[in-house]
Amino acid sequence: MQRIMITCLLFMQLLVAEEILIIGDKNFPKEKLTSAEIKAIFLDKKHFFGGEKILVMNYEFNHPLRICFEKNILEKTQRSLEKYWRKAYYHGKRPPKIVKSTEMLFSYLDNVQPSIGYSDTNSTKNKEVKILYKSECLF
Amino acid sequence: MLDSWKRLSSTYKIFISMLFFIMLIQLGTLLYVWKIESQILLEKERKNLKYQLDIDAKLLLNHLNSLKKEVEFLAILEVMDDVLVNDIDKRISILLDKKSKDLAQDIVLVATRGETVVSSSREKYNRRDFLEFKVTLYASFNREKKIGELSLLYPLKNLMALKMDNPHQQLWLKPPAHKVGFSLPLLKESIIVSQKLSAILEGWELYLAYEKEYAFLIIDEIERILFFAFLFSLFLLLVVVWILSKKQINILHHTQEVLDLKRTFLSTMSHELRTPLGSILNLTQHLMNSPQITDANASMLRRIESASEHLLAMINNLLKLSKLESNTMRVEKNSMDLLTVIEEMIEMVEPLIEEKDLTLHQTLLKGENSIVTDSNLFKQVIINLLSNAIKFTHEGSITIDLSKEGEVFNFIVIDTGIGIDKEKQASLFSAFYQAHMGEEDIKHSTGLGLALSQKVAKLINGKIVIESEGVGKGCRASFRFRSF
Repeated sequence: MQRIMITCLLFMQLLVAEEILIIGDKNFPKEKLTSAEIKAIFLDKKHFFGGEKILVMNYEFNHPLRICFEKNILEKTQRSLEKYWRKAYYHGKRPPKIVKSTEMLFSYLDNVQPSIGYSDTNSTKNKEVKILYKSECLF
Repeated sequence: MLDSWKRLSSTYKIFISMLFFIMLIQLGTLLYVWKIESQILLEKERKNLKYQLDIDAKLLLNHLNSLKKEVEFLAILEVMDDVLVNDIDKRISILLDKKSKDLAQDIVLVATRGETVVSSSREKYNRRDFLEFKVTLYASFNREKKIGELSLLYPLKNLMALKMDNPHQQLWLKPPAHKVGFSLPLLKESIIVSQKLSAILEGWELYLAYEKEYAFLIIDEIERILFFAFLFSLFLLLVVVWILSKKQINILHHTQEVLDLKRTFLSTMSHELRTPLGSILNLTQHLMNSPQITDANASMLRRIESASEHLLAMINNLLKLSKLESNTMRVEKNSMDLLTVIEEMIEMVEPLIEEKDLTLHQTLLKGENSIVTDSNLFKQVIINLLSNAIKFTHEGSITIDLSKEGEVFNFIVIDTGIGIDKEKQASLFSAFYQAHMGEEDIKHSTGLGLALSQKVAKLINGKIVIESEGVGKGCRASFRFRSF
């Protein structure tokens, strides 16, 4: 029984575990980012890269990738993020720009530099973007 | 007319004067309004129109400004960032479509990136038919990053027909360059004002026209009222004058009738009175000449004769006075030697002077002095003055003086007689007035002599003046006259 359960869990992990990629535009000034840097960027604690203000993109509330990103990379719950942004607003910080779709995301990445967002592996295939960080979506 | 005015009572005079004064004010006001209408009123109306135009311009610009604010508001929305990605999710399109429907007025909203139209609330349109309000789009994530433009296209046709509440006013816009549909409207004779606009409609001019006929409607009404008020006052004045003239005519007729009656009465009565009186006198004189009459009877007859003569004289004087008052006495002008006539009159009264034992002094003009006058009337005046002086002087002297000052002769009779009380001197020339009430004086006096003499004197270009220092101090009668 135990073995079956472990197998099922592993299988499930295999099923739901997705790779989430932090991607920047093709001319993003850095090749790789640390998780701390990503957090700083997405929490508007870091605005500029190489003197340019970064366009930081997020998906809409309850988008699976966003849930994954907030949980696994930002390591914050939605509630704590709401609380954070409520306070941060009064300090002049702004949450990332919301994009409705991955097409939108990639369009922004094509047109705005520097810009950063996140996506899944499939969507990122054949796109002219820089992969700055990888992580898995562990639920 | 002046005489008629003098005869009016004060009430009528005040009434007519007030009416006339009111008419003058009305006429003055009317003339003033007519005169100033074309200048001052025009300026006033122009000012009013400019004020109204200013308000209209502000309303128009405010409306357009509010539309511009809508665009400015849209431009700062984060969704406008999608211009960068050519509005892939059509979020901008949905927004612009909804907004243009909200604004209505056939407005078109267009988001562009460079030359590319990213999104538009309408597919087909001609930019030349619109007034454009353009706002630069900046990225929400970087307010210094220009990403495109958002335009609001306002249909020019909305600016062509500017509605006015007043159908006699027209409001229209003139663009800086010719545009079809913005031509001068057909106007009747109007007052036109204009104002250059600024901001959104920089270079445009707003015009306001008001038909003159209606602009001055109130003034025309006032003029009309004033004019009719003036006519009414004039009518009222004419009615009053007509009524008064009718009254006057009636009075004149009545007076004339009375005068005619009086004349007829006097002439009839004088004839009726004179005839028997004449008989009395003749018979009395005849009896007096009869040898059978005793002294006592003769004395009585003399008294009858004297009384009859007195009565006759009074009737004659009354008749003369009546003729003078009714202006029927004719003046016959002829040339006469003044000195000769006066000497003749003095000779006539000399017996009376001698009878009363009075001294006669005379200083008469020397040389020939002929005048043109009515000799009979002239003699009457001289005789009256001389006989009065003799009648009222019981002792002393009578002084007669004739002198000349330029063209004016002065005949003066000074007596040392009973004189006249100063208070009674003013009424000396009134008919029937007698300054002396002593029995002896009344006996020989009709009271008509001086009144008659003064009227006769005036007829022959002269005037009598009687002066006295008082009772017992004699009298000075002067007759000033000139030749015709």
